[in-house]
Amino acid sequence: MKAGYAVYARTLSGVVVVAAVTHLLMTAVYLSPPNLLKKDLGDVASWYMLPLFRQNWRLFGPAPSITSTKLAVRCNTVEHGWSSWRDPLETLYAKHFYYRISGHSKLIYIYGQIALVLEQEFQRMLAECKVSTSKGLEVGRPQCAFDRITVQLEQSGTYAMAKRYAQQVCEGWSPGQGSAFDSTARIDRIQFKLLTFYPLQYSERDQSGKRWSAVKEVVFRPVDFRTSTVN
Amino acid sequence: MPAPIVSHFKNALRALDRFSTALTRQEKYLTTQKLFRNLFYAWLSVHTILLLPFHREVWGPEAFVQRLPFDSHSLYDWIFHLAAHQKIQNYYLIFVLAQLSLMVVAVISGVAPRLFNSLICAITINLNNLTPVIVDGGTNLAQLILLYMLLLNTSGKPVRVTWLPLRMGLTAVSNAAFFLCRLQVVIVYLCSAILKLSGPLWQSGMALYYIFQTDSYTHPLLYRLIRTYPLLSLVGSYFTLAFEALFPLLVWFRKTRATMLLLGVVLHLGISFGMGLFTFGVVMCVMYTLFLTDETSRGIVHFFSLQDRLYVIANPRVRIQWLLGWLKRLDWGGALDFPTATDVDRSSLHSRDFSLIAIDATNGVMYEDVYALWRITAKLPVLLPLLPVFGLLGYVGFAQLLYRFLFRSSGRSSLMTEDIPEFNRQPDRAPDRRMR
Repeated sequence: MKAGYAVYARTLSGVVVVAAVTHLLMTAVYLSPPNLLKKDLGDVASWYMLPLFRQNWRLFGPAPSITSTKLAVRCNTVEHGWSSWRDPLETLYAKHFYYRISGHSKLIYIYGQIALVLEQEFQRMLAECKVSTSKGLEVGRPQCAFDRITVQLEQSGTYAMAKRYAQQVCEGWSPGQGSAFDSTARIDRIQFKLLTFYPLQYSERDQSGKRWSAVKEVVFRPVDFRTSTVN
Repeated sequence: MPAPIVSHFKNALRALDRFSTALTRQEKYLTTQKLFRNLFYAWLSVHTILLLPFHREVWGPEAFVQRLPFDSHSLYDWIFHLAAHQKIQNYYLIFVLAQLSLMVVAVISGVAPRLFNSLICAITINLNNLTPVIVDGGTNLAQLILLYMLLLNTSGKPVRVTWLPLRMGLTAVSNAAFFLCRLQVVIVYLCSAILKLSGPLWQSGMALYYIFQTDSYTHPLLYRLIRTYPLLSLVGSYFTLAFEALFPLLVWFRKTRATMLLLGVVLHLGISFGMGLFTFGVVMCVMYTLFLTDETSRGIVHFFSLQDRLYVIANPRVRIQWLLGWLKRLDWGGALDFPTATDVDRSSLHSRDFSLIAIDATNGVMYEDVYALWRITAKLPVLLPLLPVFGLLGYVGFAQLLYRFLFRSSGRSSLMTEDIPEFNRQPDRAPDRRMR
């Protein structure tokens, strides 16, 4: 009987060890950069790992995100015309800086993602446009001008989400809390734009009045508030 | 004379037998596994509770989140994406409240741990799939650990199955899962280090200088600090690189483990409060529990256990009675005892020079003055947040000075047993051998 249990223990150990090693091997292949092993086993590793063991350990590496991308909104009312551009997340950021132990950081992920994904979509379309036109075209050429790209972007689901976000902001809603915006005003049109803020270079750190090295804008066309048609 | 290969083969078989016995019959980390589970569920509860005030914006059907639609043909969706089903999506709060309730019951009752682990795992992944955008590194790691915990024995007791082969199987699987949990944490650091080492900003030590300028991962104070003293970016970036590169190796050795875990806590608390990634920083600290020995885990459990009582005696000649009054008010769990003569060995206190003494009822260890106060702080849940502050002050020697300033009128006072009224009411007894 004891010999039987010993054999059983060895067999069981072998099976458990093989299973654990296989799992680790699949994890290693899944996480590894392109290499010969990934070329052969990449599909198997993806099939094994996804979706339960999905993982990504970039954690600010190799190239951390160093720009801040935001969505600024302005609203046109019948009474007052266009308001000034504002960042709907300003109060949320202030609360995030004040209350470190809170859910505000996760809300910033949610709302910050709208601008981030829109910008990524914009960059992707711009890159595709440049590739599809003939070589030698600069950025300023009409085919790949920013306003043409933004018009193409209006068909995307990302734009639709950004538009819904801007509409709710103009209606008086503010992420994470209520809003001081005059919700009784009659909103006529809304407009939003992407702002990408570039950090100060090391050489610029002593320039006291400067917060950002550069700011890039991508302005979308105003949208009629009630019908959501673009003007 | 048999060939050397025969004896080597026999040695290998013996080693295999020792390994297979250890894997299938011994559970060396029962307390660590249970402690880890409790701390992990505490973190998960805090993570969910922090989002509750914003539940509609996080999990609601109208949240600004891009979600994958529910696929009725997918078994994965039926188990882990059920909250996105059209008929269920409006009842997302049920998942949230179920997760919290299950965790509370699991930790308090300790019954059916595998069942509770399974349910909590399924519900948590459902909630994560509702809002994938908030699944950062810490939440991702937590999700993986939840899956490993399906195989882990987190009851704190050995597997209780009468049929030996099944018991061996469950023990082997639990031991392997525990090892995989540790390896998963190591993989995080290894991957992160390798990726960072290939990044120019990390190589030049300027990564933190730029990261701390992004609104999402900074604080105004930190921003001003890094802009005024950019050298801090160099120090911080290289420290991060060195730590992440060395952790996967040094954490396995007893001599270096404590240092690595301590440095990791410092790094992750900096991430929590400096960069605003509170839950990520804290969950990494919770993961470090996996690397504690069972002996250390037992010590931690005993240190904070409300069931193990602490006797508190104050010298009536010192102005400390007001403190005793407050301690009695804050002792909601009943962990403190203000003893009579039957509980305490009078001879150990006779002519002893002290103002405050705390005696561990379980092992009779005696703590005096500021150390007694520190031990008492660990027993009162409401004062637990003060413990790290206390520890830091004690480490630099300031706690002792502060204690003397607050509680001593003129140096130390001797306590005579006549000073304790309870002693005078009792007849002479043989010393209580439980106390040292």
